[in-house]
Amino acid sequence: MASLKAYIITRALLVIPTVLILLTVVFFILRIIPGDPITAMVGQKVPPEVLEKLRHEAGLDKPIYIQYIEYLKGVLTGNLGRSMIWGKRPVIEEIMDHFPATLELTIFGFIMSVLLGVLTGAIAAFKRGSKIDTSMRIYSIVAYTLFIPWFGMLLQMFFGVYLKLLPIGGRITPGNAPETITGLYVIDSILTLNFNALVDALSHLLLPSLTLGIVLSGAYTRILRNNLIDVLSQDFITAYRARGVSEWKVIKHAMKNAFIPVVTLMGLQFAILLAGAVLTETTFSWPGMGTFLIERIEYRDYTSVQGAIVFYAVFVALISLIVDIVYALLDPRIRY
Amino acid sequence: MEVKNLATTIFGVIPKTEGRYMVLAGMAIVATVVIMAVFAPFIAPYDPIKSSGDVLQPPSLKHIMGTDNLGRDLFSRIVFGSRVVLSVVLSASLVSMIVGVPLGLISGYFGGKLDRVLSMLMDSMYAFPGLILAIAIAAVLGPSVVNAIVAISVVYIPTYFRMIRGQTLSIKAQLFVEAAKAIGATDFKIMRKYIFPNLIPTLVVVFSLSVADAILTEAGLSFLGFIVSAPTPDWGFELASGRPYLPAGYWWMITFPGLMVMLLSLGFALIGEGLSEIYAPRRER
Amino acid sequence: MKAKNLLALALIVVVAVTLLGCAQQKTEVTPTTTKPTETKPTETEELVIGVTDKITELDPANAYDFYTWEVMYNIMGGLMRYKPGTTELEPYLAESYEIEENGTVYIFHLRKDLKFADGTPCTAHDVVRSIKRVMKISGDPSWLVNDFVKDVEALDDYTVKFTLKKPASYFLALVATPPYFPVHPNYNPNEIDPDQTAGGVGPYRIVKWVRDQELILEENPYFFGEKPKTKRVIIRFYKDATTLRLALERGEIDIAWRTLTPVDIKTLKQNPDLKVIEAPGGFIRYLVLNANETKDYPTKNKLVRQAIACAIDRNDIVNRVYMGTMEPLYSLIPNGMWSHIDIFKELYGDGNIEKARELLKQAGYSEENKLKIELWWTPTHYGDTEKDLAQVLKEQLEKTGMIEVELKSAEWSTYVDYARKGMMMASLFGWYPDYIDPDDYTTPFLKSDANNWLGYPYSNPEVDELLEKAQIAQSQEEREQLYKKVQEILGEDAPIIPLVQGKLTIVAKKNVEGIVLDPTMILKYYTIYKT
Repeated sequence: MASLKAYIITRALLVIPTVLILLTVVFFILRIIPGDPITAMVGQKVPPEVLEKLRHEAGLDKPIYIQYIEYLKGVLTGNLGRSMIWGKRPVIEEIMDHFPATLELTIFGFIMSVLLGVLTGAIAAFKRGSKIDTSMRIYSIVAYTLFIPWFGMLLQMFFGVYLKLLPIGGRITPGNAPETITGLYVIDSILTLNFNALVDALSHLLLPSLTLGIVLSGAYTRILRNNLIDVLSQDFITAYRARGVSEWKVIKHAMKNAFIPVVTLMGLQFAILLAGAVLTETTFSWPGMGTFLIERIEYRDYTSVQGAIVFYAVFVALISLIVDIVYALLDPRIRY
Repeated sequence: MEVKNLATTIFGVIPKTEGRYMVLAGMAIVATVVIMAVFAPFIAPYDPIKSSGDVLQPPSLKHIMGTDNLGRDLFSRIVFGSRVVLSVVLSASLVSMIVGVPLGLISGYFGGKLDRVLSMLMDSMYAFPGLILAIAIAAVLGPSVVNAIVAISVVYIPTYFRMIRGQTLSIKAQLFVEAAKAIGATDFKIMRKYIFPNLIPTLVVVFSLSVADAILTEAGLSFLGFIVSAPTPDWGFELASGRPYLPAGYWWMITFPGLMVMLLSLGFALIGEGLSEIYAPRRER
Repeated sequence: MKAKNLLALALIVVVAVTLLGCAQQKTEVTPTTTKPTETKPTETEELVIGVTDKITELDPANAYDFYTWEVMYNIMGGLMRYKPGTTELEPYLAESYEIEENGTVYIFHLRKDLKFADGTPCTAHDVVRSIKRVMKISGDPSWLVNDFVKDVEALDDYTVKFTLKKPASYFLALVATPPYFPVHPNYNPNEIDPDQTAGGVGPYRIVKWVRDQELILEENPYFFGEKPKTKRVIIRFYKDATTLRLALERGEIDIAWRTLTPVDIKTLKQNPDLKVIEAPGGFIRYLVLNANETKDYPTKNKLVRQAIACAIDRNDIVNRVYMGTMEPLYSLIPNGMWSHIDIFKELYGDGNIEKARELLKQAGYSEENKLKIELWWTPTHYGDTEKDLAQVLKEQLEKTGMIEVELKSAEWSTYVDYARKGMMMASLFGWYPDYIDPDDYTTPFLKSDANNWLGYPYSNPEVDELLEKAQIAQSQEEREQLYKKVQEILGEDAPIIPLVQGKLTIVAKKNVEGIVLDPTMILKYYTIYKT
């Protein structure tokens, strides 16, 4: 008879090998292929002896396995090294500069997708069998195939360039950023009562989160629709109706019950959300982790790329862990 | 024991559920693109790589999708671009299938420690955002079609694994499998003769749906510059190339490539969704 | 009932979007247009400049990128500087200097009224401290000091003595670069100080710095020189060119500086409320042809290189690839710099297909036996236009009917690595000057040993000799003759074919005046004002 505690511990421990494998693979491949960050930065301008000296200082001339071990030691103590380019700032700092942007985008995208999904799913379920139902189901299939960069660009063109209603890139008008408390502009501007920044941040968030939200909403549409239909056909609903309970109350109860599987779906969708965020960030020039990763890849900034991958891996693992634990708490059948 | 055969499903009677229309619509789209890819040199009116002389022309009778900033005909580039998309996506999916299906079958059938280890590995890969994994692999290996195929195939292996494993588990529990064991059939024979054929319907659905997803992943990688380098045409890449011109009003450079990505992905998605409707129809109406 | 709810929801969404849109527009209107219009030529209060560049670190010991150097030229200064609008050097923090012992010793006499932005005096000891700091930290640009300076010392509070490793007639140009700038004592003496705002001795000082968001400069009250024409300069960092352009069109900023795309510039030129100012920049693009003997590339044959030089059509490149935002370049030394001659135009012309064919025939090629060239390019480092450049060059070379070009690309890190290893037959590169002198455009390319990064040993003893003489020669006329000869040999041998030169483009509101664009490519904020 396995216990809940054992389950949680096992799941938590499983995070480690995942991150380790990913990190190792990226570490070695990055170093095997030609090109390194120092050469990329100054290779043209600097005499060979100076280049060698700079590389030596960055520790790039040590044997690979020694570099690897030193890096691992660092990671275990929370030190992800320093970026190899530009300001040579600690990678952790650089990640913390970029992560809140991704987090904010992901949260708002997520909210949008659930809202849209639930809305369309509910409409489909209540209008079951009609043309509206069919169109909602078509929506759920088509939505996911809207290629994010393309869809995002269309929105930018329409709302940003033609109508000039909304900004097309960045998180906020430069200079308007609220005081940093959490790094999430919306929250920070509310906390500092900065109305100007709040409106500015929200207007920059609207298009990107709409893009992400629409594309990801399809899955929720479907699942909510099906579960809602199931629930609506159940006895207790008929009983409610027979007793003359108002239709609104019926809807409320039905939705509550249909919602549970949606919660588990949210956990599964998380990975897709992060992936979608990368493309959204590129399209809307959003300075988040996705932009960071891609930027540093080009410069072979080893430490930053590794740090970003480690960060993603740990983040995803943690969220999956939480979702699994929540699910296990809800469903007593799941144990190891 | 009757085996549901792919051939009978398609060429025979497609059950008249609404799934039928979805499958037919999807197949029509996919067939069009495949024809485009196979017969590209005959369909494309211009050389996709050479300038035709008219720079930045909007869609017209001469150039139905317009031209780009170097004067190349966009329709021709789209037609040839379909070759890259299809070859990358189909090859990658094949590799994923060849690796993921047997692993899922064996893992589901034998269970035990092997199953636990594989499942853990596959689950953690599945949980990791696909595009980011593909970016990490393709970026470090360098932009090329082959590397993209490697990257994308790695991303989808867990999908096949999980689905096949799940189906294997449920088929394994059925009576006829126990019966086969009772008469002394070997594991391998059971897997080959009894389980695998019943996996095919699921496999087809999973294939269609994951190809639909892989198209979006390929387009994403291409958009970020990790697959082709100019002047080879590829839809995602065209989108990125046309982007600086969009605010100046040159809309056609991105509209058509993005539309194609969506349509092709939709085509496969419709096939997958339609088929899954047919095999497991919803119980209303 | 459900339809009504839908309608209500839709209505709310539409209202919300419109409100956000209106609110957004409201917030735009505030800062810039509420200033009372100043018709008197008094100091302008505030100027807003938009860029898409980033500041990497505010420390001259490591900053080696273009934009950060520009900021440093505005908040710090060196012993020498370029007179704004020219490439002439003049003493700046120093009042005068002497060169002794055949150019290996330089003695600078500092002004006595130098103060940092907080009033702390700046003396020769600060100069020495700062330079020694750069040498010690050994950051990316430190070779500009370490390669030349053997020792630096303060003879007294206002005298600095440099002892050089060997004579270098362009040392004064080096001294004008940021690694030689004196910095405030607050700078960490042993490590790179990326966010240090204490600055140096310059017309402006930093008042606010939010990384990747904005930089606010205000006039330095202790500055010894002329007061800047605008009291306060706000620099805003935009994430992409389109947002920058829209910000300018909406009036949120006064100037859009770096970097707008060619398409954007073309559109902005048609905007009646804005003015577009262009000037030749010092940024050059060129094609490197590998003559590496050990690798057996066809480019080791001089006739092949000359044929390629003939076939290239720079005007086509400028039009199709860059939409007129670059100009043709016919020598490694850029247009506008002294000693420049249009050598490649004289010898080969543009798109000279007949001559190219002749040369190819002489080299043994024909329509049946085509010359096969691998042309390498890199996708993002030089911008989105790079793929177009490669494509157009391929078309031009293939017009001869006797060349077949295969395009190959590698992303920047790999590209530079391949270059050093001599693995690329023909490759596209660019060059930003470190110091404004023909030496920086010739020695790194043509002098044996200095050009190792190019990956093949182009080594011509005559050129080496000319370059060395030019490095030591004291008179500009003498040096000019030497560099002209170098260019002639360059043209004849054609190991490197210059293609285009960047144009600096800045777009501003009609009422902005005093913008000076010069070959240093550094925008000096202190000359700009609004009417």
